[in-house]
Amino acid sequence: MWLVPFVVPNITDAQQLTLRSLTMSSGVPSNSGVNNTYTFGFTTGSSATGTLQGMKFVACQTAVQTYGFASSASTTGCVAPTGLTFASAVWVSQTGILPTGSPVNFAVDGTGGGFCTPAANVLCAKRSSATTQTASLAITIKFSTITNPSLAGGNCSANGCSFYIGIYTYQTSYATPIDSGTVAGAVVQTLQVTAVVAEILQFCVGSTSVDDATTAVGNASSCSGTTVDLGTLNPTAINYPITNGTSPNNVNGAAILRTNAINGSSVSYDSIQDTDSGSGQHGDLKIQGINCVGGASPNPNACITSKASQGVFTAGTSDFGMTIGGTNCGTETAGGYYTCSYSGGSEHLVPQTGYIGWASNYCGEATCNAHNGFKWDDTGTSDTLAVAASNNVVADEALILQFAATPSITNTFGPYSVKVDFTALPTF
Amino acid sequence: MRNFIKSRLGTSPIYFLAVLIFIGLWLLNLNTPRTASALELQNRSVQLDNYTPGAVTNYHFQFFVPSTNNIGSIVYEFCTNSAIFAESCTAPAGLDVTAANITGQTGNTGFSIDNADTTVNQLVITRPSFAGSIITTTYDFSGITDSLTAGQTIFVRVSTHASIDGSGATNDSGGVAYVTGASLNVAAQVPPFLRLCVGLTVAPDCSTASGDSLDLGDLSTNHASAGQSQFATGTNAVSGYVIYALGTTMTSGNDVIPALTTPTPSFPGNDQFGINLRANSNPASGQDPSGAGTGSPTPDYDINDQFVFNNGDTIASSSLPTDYNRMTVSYLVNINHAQNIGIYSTTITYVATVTF
Repeated sequence: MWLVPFVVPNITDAQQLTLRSLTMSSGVPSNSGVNNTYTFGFTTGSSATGTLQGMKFVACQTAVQTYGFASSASTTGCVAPTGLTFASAVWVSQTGILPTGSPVNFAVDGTGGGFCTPAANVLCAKRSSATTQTASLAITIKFSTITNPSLAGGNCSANGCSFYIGIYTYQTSYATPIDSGTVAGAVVQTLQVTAVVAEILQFCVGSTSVDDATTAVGNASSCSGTTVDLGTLNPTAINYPITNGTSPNNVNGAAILRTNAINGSSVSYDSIQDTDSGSGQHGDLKIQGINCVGGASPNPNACITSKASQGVFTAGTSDFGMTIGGTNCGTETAGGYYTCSYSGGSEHLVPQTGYIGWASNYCGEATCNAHNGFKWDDTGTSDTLAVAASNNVVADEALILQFAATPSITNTFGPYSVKVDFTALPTF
Repeated sequence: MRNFIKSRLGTSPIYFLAVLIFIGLWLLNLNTPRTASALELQNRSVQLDNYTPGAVTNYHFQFFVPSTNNIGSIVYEFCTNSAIFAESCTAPAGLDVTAANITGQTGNTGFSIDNADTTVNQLVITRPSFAGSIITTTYDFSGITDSLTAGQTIFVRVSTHASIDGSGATNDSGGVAYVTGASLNVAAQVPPFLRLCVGLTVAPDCSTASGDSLDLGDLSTNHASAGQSQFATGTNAVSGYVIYALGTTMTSGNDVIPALTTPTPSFPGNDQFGINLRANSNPASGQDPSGAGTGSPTPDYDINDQFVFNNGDTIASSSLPTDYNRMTVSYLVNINHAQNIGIYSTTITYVATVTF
């Protein structure tokens, strides 16, 4: 803090200190300690002054005619700033005072004498040096371990208060005044800036025509599409949505996550169980409402077999499954929040074993089947697809979900479907 | 509040100043007032058994209590707008926690539902107030009706209190979140299937078929002439399939080798034409049916070493949807001494029909 005076006491038999300043190491009210320093700067008068062996600093709430230049009374016309105290002040350094080659330092004088009587608001400093000072010396002198004023003084408001310190120089210790001047200081209420970053969770599932790991899919509040269509199945082929689906459903699935959860997050799915009266396979790709096993008149051909363990499909062998083609970083990269590359292995939302289409390589639907293949959990229990580790927030990374199915020749003709819930589990 | 300030203004500026300072400090602190040692609940999460909008389901909360502040109650406030405690809370439409029950608790335990202070979107659990344990803590609730809105982020503001009714200063707190009903439909169509392939040889699944002509060579009165062809078939028709053999016996102009109208063994030196679908030893020809399907030859064509042929006969069938079966047709020809010279031939057509 650096403040210049704007009112100067007028002492008729002394010259004016010019270019006066007070530099406070802290403007915090009541701040104290060895690191709380006041540095006074000024330039002496324009005529030669003889020796300089005493200095007096008097702090007051007001600046006009309140100081005892030739008086020892610390409170003559002066109301001390509440809380300020020089009682523990220690000289730290000085510059500009002659001699400079082998300087004779000032020291805080706790005893005082002459025109200076130490008090909470009066600092006396002296030295013994016969060196004659020249005119217009630029001087600084620094003291530490000063306690700042509090905000309780009458010159204070809720936001801060100003105070003034008169500087007096003497040829001897507090006799034969030389120059004087006033500096001003202030302490202000500290402003604590606080903010709260709320927990963020945005998660959506939809469909996308994006079939790579780099083209932006959109953010986690922009999902569209509710259906992925595998088309008309044929036991002589493996059906994939993009290849065989019917517009506008010839798309991949996409699960997009945004969260600032710092202790990790995950994306899981569970197949919604058909309400048929059978005893199992409720979460298969199936003709809804028909029992595939158990119950009345079960028809095992009404379900396309779920691939319980990840594997490649063979046309004509009843199988249905899903895999992750890759983690799409396109939207995250556009945002530039962090480095994210599926091929580089730096994605935060990492596909888990069982649902990795092709490790570290994006795979389209047929390519996924040429590598790790597909898997489907039809039990309705939650199965984890991808995980972000602790300290890895996720900014709109999208899991590109590939589906595949092939029927056996005996699969009953009709419409097949399965509904799947995707869930995000952030740990904040 | 306004009256309070006005009354003090006239009597003491210090009160006014104090009020201003208080207001200033309150405005600067955007979060809920906490006790001096209030901390953030760590490792917070919530998991639902069913995320379907409107479902009545179980909720599982987990967090790490970071202090030994007294805990007499824990408040779970469900909001759609924000997890920040200082902000107003918009209750999720349809969410209802008033029927919640505690089904499990670990860590800081001993809680029961505080029905008196629980509202539609604020669940309060209570216990006698005593020091909390710095430990991972879980609470399981049943009977909570979830929000009716699909794809909606629900924030749950979790806070501990020394009071037993969720009132007063917050001790430790933190927010968790979940999203309701993010679902996707996967759809497909399976059309009616009937696959039939015919050839001298066919693959078991009809992926290949080759040959459409069979030469039985020079017929003889001393030994039988035989040959074979194959067909495979499968269907997803609920009532299965039927395969017919259409054609005539072997002829050469007006000369005919009479067909066997009932299953009959091979007798060289006699006019005979017939087929069957089994492995035969006399003459050595054919194979038994193969494959995982339920198809089989009809009885007349299912006898080893006996042959028959009637135009339009059903030669094989399945009464169920069936995977592929491959069947081998053996052709038998015998002639007598009076058979006229000529080139004898026939065309047999195999037809599969289903009823979908």
